[in-house]
Amino acid sequence: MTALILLISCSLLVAVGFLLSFLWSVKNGQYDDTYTPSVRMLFENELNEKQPAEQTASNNKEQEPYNHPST
Amino acid sequence: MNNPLTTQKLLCFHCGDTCKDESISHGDKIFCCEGCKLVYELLSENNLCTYYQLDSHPGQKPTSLQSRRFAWLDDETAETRLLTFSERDRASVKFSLPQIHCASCIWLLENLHTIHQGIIHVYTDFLKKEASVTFNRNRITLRQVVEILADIGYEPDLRLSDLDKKKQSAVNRDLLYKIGVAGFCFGNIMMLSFPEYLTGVSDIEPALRHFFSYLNLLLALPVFFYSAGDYFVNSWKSARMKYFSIDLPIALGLIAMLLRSTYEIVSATGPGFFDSMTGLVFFLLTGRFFQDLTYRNLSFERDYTSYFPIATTVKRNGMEISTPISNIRPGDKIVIHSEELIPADAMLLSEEASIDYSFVTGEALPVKKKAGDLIYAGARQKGAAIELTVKKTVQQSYLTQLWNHQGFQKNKHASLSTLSDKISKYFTIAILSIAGFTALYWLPKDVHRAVIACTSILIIACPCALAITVPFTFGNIIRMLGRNNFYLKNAAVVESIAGTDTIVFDKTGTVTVQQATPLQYEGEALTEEEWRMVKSLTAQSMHPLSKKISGWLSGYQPLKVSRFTETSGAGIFGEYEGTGIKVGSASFAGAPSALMHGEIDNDARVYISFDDKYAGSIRMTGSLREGFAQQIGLLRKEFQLYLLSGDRDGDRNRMEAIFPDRHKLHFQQTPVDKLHFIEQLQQEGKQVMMIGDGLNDAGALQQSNVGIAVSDDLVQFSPACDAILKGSEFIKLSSFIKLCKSSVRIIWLTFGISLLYNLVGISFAVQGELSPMIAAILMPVSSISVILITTLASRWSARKLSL
Repeated sequence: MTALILLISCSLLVAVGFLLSFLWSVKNGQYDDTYTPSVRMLFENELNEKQPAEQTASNNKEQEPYNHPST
Repeated sequence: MNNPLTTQKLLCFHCGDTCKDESISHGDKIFCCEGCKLVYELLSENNLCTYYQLDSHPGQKPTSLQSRRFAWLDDETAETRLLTFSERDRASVKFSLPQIHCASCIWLLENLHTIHQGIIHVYTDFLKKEASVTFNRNRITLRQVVEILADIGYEPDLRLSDLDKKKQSAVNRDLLYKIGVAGFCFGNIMMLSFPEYLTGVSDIEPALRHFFSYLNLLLALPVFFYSAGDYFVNSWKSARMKYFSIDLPIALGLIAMLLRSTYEIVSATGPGFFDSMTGLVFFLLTGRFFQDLTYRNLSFERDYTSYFPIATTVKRNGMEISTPISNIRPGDKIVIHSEELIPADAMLLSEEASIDYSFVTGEALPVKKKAGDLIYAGARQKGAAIELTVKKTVQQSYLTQLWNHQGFQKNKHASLSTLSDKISKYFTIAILSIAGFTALYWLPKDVHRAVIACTSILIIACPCALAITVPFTFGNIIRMLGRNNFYLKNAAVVESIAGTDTIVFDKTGTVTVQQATPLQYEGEALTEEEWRMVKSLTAQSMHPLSKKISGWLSGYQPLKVSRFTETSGAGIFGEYEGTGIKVGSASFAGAPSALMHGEIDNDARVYISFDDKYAGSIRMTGSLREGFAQQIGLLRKEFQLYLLSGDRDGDRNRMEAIFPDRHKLHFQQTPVDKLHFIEQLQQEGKQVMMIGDGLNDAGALQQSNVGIAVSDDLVQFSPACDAILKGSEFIKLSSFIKLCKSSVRIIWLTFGISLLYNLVGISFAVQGELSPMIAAILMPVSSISVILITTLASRWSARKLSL
């Protein structure tokens, strides 16, 4: 039965990990706008074809919140 | 009656408007105006033509160059107040771009960095119609950013209110965190409690049982102290004000559950009610989330600052300087161009002005003003630029003073006792007395049982279903109304609408619409060439009536007219192949006096003559909104109807024909009169719904129990109100009201059902027989069935009203 206790503790730890990642994603603003990213996603390829990674490198390093991807 | 010919339609490649001819083109693409062509050229230079592939004709007509004056953006204070973030060379600013309407817009805006290297990136929020721009301050100024946006047709909507609201945090994420925590704990507790549900399996090892129980206790604590925190705070607040809100019995139930369960676990007498407790909190929070989903792109809190531009042109020492309007002082000389708002009460210096007061008074036709006249803030200049001397600051002007009225100080829904609060008052008293009597009954016989029975009652009677039904029903109703373009500010508005017994309409803009006006020509028939002359004349004038006629004659090709002159306040003159054409007022065009009835029937008329020989007139009626008469017919049975108008009573006859009672029509009402009128009705005990539009109704909308703003442009022009109704949906008004009324009936029905559940639960509880198992089944079942019933019932009643 101690195995059960161990297993449940482990599963709870994993679940806590998911809870934390959910909280993180909310904090990061991923639920603020649930529409635009669905449209934006379709543009990414479009963009890369036209001008392959022109100015990606310059600003990526700085800490940016999720909602400002520098493509 | 002549109608203008319609020629074969040529659509502008950029914006999709009809083009006059093929004269403006680039390659094989045709444009309606130079502005559209310029945008296209700018985009094609920068390889941004994908814009046109994503959506056909996605473009926005850029505003005319002269109306763009962004010099004030160089002003450092204005800049720092607008920027949302700024660090060294990097700065961010959030613009409201009402032009955003399709995927192409998102694409173009987010690729703005290809037009100018100084722009680092743009992030758009489609639903809010906002874009936040991050740029490098060493390479580009804020003013240049705004100018680039204006160049491609997305001129930011910069209002006075933008300067002050930047500190507001955008989204309230607290509720999401709380739901997350509650959901997590609820799920795990359910799992850990599962062995207990299987009765007969009492032979779980004690060690394991202990482990599960303590784990449950551990998981329940964050739910109790964090997720449910608001319920304790709210009920404490309302209890101190001797007011029973629905939160009070919930808080009591939660406390009872926590104490009893902790006791059971510590004394090893039972598993506790943590599964029910966390489930309850989870459902309650979900209900609140559901109710709070409102329309983020609509603003219900506008005051005058949302209407006024941030800057205006001030003339100092002969120089025209763009100045933020908050810096305008009495005595300043300001220059107002055509179609601009006058930001403060001012005296006219120029000889003449044509002032559109529709914003302030509701008066539909422009008013002539002479030098020396006082012009109130909020008026719009039509025609040539004028100069004025400011008399009062913006905050102290006539219109803006409306906001200092006490009606604006109080928060009108704060004191509103909502349906659930009304019920919970009796409910709480009933529960407390049942618990009290049960305790008294058991106390002499069995102290232990008394405590058990008493806490069981508090637990099972916790008005979970009761608290859930209101947010879910109103949330459903709000969404269904939203689908029909009727947007409510919050759930309390549904209830206020249902309780309405008096409806007050504003006339201009609400009941009558100027835009939908069909133009009519009366007089001798004109040849096509003559129509084309009229078209070419009116196309050159900026007067609102000329613009309207020119738009109406869009099917005609203009001719080359010479000797064009515009006499302000009279009309326009031009010559074509020796024929002199006059378009303007009756005396200007030399109309026979018998025909000078423009002032009498309140219709605007424009008279036309050729070589001083009168030909005919074009008539513009302020027409009734579609379906208005029919709606009045439907509403008059149930409601008292009133009409308030800022207009002179030229329309009285027409309105009397529609309205049931002639004494309920009031004309020449100032904004303050309207407010007082509503106040007076309320003192008679009426529940007043005010339906209005522009700023002139703002006071009345605020004072009324339900203020509904009717607007054709939802995002832009709606004053402070409780609900926004799209103009074209006015025809459904009576159905909307019926739906709100039926929602209250649905709530009563579900209250009844949840009471039944409670009776069953309490019958167990008074005997002290409530096992955690029964609670764990009964509570979720009641919550879920209540949610199902309200959803189905509100769908059904919406379908019945064909909404």
